[in-house]
Amino acid sequence: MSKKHVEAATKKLTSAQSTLNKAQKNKDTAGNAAAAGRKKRDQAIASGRVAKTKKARSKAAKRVADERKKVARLDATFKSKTKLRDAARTKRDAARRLYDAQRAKYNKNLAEAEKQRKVAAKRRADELKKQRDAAAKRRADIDARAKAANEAEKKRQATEAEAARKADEAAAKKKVQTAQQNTVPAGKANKLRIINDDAWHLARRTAHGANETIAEWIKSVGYNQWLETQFDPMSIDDSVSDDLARAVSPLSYMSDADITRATNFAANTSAHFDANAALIRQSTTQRVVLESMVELWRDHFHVWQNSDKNSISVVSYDRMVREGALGSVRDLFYNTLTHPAMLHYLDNQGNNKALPNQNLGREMLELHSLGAGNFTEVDVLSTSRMLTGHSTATVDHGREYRFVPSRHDTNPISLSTGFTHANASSVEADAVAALRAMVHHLALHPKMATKIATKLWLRFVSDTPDPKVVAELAQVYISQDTQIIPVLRTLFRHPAFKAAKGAKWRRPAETMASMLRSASITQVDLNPKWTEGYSSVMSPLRSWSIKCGHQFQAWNTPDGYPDVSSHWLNPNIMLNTWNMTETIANQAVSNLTFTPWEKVFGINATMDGLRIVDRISMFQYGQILDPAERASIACYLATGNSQKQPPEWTGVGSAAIGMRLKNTVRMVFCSARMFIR
Amino acid sequence: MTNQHLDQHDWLLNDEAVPTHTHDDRDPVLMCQHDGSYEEADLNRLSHETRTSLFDDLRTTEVHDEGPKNKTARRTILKGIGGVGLGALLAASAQPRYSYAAVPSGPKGDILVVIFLRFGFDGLTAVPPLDDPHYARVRPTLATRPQDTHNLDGKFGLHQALGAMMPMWDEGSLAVVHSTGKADQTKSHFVAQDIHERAAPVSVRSGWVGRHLATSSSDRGTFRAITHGNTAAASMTTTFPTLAVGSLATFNVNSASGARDHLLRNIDSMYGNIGGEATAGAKLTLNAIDTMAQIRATGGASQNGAKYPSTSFGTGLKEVAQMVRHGIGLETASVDFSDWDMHVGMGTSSNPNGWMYRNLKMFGDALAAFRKDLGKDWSRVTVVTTSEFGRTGTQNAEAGLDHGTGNIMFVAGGGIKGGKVYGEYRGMAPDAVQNGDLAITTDYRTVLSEVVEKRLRNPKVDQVFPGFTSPGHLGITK
Repeated sequence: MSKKHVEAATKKLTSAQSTLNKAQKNKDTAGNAAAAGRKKRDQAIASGRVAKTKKARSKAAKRVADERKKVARLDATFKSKTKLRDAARTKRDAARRLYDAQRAKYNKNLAEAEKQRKVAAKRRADELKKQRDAAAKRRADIDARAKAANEAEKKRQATEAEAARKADEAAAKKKVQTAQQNTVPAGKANKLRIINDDAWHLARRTAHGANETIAEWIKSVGYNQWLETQFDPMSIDDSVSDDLARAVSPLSYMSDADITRATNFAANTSAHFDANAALIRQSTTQRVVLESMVELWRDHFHVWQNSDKNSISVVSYDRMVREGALGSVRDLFYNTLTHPAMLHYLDNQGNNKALPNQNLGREMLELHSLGAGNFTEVDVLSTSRMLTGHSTATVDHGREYRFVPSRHDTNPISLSTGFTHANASSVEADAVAALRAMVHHLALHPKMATKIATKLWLRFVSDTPDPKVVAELAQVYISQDTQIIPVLRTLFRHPAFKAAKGAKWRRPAETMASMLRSASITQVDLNPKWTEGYSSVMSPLRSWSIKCGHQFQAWNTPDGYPDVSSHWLNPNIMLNTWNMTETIANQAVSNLTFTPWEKVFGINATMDGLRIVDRISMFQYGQILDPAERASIACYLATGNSQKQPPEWTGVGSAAIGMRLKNTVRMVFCSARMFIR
Repeated sequence: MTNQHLDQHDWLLNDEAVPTHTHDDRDPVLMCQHDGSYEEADLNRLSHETRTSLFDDLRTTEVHDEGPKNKTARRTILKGIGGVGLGALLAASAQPRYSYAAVPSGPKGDILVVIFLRFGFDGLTAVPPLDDPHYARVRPTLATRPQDTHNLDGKFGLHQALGAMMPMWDEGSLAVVHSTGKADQTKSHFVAQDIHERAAPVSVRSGWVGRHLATSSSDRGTFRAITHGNTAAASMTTTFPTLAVGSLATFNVNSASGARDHLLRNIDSMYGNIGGEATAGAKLTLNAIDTMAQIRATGGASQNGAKYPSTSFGTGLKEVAQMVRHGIGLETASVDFSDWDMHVGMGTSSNPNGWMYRNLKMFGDALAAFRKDLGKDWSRVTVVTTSEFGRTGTQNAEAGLDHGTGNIMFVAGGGIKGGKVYGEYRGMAPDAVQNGDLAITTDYRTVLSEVVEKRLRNPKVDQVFPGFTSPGHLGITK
């Protein structure tokens, strides 16, 4: 309210002042005019005094009188203006007094309000502080209670963990003791003692990457029963592996024509994807015997995966081999021989009677069946002639087998092995029957039986075939009409197989698959434009495969990868394999997601370095490492220095796990045990 | 030598320069005991037997050494760290590199470079006759036309794609031996390659280069024989493992996170005393890593403006030249060029985009660069090319050539009487060919045995080529 009064008084005062100013101005104007009139009057008086004539004096007197009148008028005006001014001043002074009074009143009110505000603020602050203090006290109480609870829980957990650890340790110790007590020297490192355990041995030989999981599986169902399960691969659920392979290589599940379309006519892209799918299968499949046999047959009936000549057909070739890998060898022989991939790889697609191309005709004798030294040059000409006309045709962007009658040589065929055929017809059914007859003759020939048996020996037993056992296997092969399962059954149950522990050296892809199997791929992510950037998909692994000289089916000659350590155990491959361990231990492979190592090996920061190293090596090799490297790696994990032992072997802590577990895993992977099969 | 001290030397691993000096050799080291505990090792506490046995292990790789005086002591200490025998591995991490080079005296004669032109090189296309009408007859489209050649001697031409090799011919360090091969050989690539590289009856399990190595010296040095590739060539197979180097540039143990020293120690420990092929292979590997690091440290630039094609073969020759210069005791090197199996679509001599034309150019350009790069070292190098067989005389219906018989060999080097085509060419007339192919008139071992005896200065050619008696030298060597 008082502010309004101040404003009203201000307005009044301003108005009164303005009126006063105007009145003052009027008074001053009138004063000036009166002064000017007096001056004029005095001039008139002065001029009368000096007037010489009467007339002049009278005129002057009249002027003086006029001027006096004027002065009187002006004075009256001045007087009235002065009066008005004084009135205005009085009014203004009244207004000022009113203003001052109102102002004073207002200021007084303001001061009072401020005083009251301060009091209120202080009251509020005091209240707030009180509340805060109370809250803080409540929190402190809660914290104290929580801390006490935590400590109790921690203590309980520690007690439990200690009990679990002790039980765990006792079990592990027992396992380790068992493993360490029953060992045999490894053939490839005669001072290295490896676990003398048939299940581990079978796992190492049949699986791309043996580990505790597979060894325990074999033990749980029994050695022979596990083999029977493997011989019936479709009875094993392998959907996890299938899904991963499908996710990483959609092309592997398409027809040749669809591949050509999907890759925009760059079908050789499919070779790279199929290699990735193979790696995924090898490192995740539960159908491990099937997978090993697929690889064995791909090496035997080898088609160079990366050759431009046949790249369009390698995916369907692999599928076909996979389907027949555990069936009859003579069917597989015929199917591989007449598959577009093989027909193009070994130049048979243009083979015709005028100038027979001998490439496939020779290799089917030398590599696929009888073996070098077991046939004549005339035989090569004969098989080449038999193969004339067996060609391919492009159908809807894919290649299909196509017989071309006009190219087929229709003269009688005979081989030095005793095979004869009239081969008189160039009708497709007749020519196919003639070729089949020759293939069946070769497939059942003792030389081919021996070649296949030797191949199986080199793959699964050792680098030095035992002629007696090979002959035994060859006999089973012939008596069972080239069915491969009975041969494998005989082989894996044979005392010679069980006696060959540690006698094989892993090829690089097997070492890679072994680490990947442990790393447990959980997920595959392909870029939406995956066909365009195929070279980046899983590229670190492909790069190591190439450096180790063991890229999937990329041996560039028709004899397939060698299977003896003299080929693989050399500095270049050894170095590159040691280096490969870093990539996989770091679990750093584009497009793949892995299971963390802590989860894989069941380890945590409360375990000491030695126990962690033991966990890793027990999972990987069924054994603990020899004392020196065991301690050295454990020291590295615990202290960051392989030569510095921690003051006591206590939990390594999460920092050590975070910083050094991957390298620790790598060090265990670098052990010679990783190479022993 | 403390652990901290070791860590301080981590940098040596990545450093391209040869470090000047390190630390006091007599510092004690911590020895990791088998129960996981550690104790300080003192050289003086090692028994005489231990010293002797450890030292024995070194003898095989070490011939002479200009390193610090206490070399033996330091090595023995290092061997003690893992309690095993791979001291050299730590050379790459904690020791001055120069003290670990295995520096044998080198070959008695030339360094031999064997170039295997795998899968049937066609000599008739590379060095065609200029005046044989039957040659053009049997190869209507694939014969190398005279106008597409450099005239060698009026009788033979050099395919124009090999033009880069002409300066070698002109300076007299490149020779051709025509119509070579092995008379009774098979047409199987694999068997023929095997026979070619073994150059001995089947019962002999070594290669001819390997037997040269074994008979010329008892040295088993890692670097006597190097194959550029993922695996050692069969010709190198001998009584000791030889080296395969896929790439000089990356021949090292990787470790991004500074754990390399510890990793190497563990590898040392894990492989050193397990015996068999595993220890032998690991030992060879670790020595090789160390030596390759030294070669890298001396710089890899090609000399004299030599420019190699960026192919596997070009890189191979380039790295062989580096090893020749570095003097690691290299005696024989093997480099492959493996893409000659041209059954279909070989391409003509006038088409620079043809398969054969492009391959010949890659071959010739690389060989010419090798010669240029070596400069005066060329005087102590001999290069020979081999292939398992030539190709069919007659071209097939698909403009390709199948597996044939006679071939040619290139022989080059400072000690070769070049500028000449050796051997007898019988021509492609129907009565002159062998199985329709170029007839073999000079056994390839005739050429190789002369090189072994005269240039490699190994008189034991009867042991290098058992079962073969040379009809006499061609006189191709100085």
